[in-house]
Amino acid sequence: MLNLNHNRITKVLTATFLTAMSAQPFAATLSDATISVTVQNAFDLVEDTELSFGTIRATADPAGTNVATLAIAADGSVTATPDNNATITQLTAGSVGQFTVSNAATFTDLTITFPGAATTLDNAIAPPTSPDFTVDTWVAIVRGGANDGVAYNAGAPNLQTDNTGTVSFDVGATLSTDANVTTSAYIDDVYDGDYTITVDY
Amino acid sequence: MFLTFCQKLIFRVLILFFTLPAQATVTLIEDLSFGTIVVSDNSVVSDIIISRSGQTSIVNHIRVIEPGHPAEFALTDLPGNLEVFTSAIITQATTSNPPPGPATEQFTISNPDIVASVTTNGSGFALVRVGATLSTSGNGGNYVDVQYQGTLQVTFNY
Repeated sequence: MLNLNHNRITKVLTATFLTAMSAQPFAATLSDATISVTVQNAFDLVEDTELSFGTIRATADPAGTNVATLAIAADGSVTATPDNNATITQLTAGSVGQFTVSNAATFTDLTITFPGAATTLDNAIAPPTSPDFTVDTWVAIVRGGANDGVAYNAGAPNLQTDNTGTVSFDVGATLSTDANVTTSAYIDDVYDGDYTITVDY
Repeated sequence: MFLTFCQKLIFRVLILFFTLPAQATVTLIEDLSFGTIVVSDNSVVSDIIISRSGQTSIVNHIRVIEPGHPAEFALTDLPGNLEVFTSAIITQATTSNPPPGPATEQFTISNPDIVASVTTNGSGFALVRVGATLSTSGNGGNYVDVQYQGTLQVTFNY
């Protein structure tokens, strides 16, 4: 009787040990996590200073054959080029256009796209047959970042942001007298127009 | 007498059986984030890779605005010097946007990066980090400026 119990107990013990030993070293725990990414392709572009050719004396060629120009380089230097009876003389200084990009990726080259066609500057109250101005030949110089003070290179864009994702640039252009036939002179008033500059990655 | 001894032995074995293995406590310290990025050109597939050690690598046209970080889990309530085997799977590999979801391209998440095993310290504590790769569609479509999400699951075997 005692032997039977002993055998039975031994079997129970063996079974218990086997169960315990086989189950003990393995346990699994699962845990989940979220994966996220935020896309921010947009950045801020602000015009800090409007492009201005200042106050000028201008005469257009009535025939529209000769065209005088006033060029403001991106560094602010001014060059007036008369053409026979077409003239432009600057009386008071203007200013380059100044722009700032912010909240962009750091140390990244951005591309500036200038207007594809000349921008017209006109005056709403001037006679219909009076001359307008046109603006074209856009140039820029980088302000800030690794290329501070370097002329913008449209062929190999070098408008590089700094370590905060910010960079500025100055814009110059060339003002020209009207190349069309006109029958009256410029009036003493403001001639203005809009242009669009695009900056992207 | 012998029976009493055996009964105690069985009881102790059963106690041992139900006490071991220790039940680990897994705490998610932080989710996996690829940060804030720019997809400047989606005409080809671009990747951003965050390794389990936290290093970021870029392939092609992704730029980083705010850096991301790997997921981090804390293992506690385990015996000291215990080797824990780990694995990770991406349970939602194509990202989605929290509603209302805009019409936009989605990213693909792949290659979870996790150490094969980790050993707890003397206090039964261990940290496990998980990185992964995020890829753009590369089909020329646009990515809207919103947050994109996926999920992963980590298994701890010990």
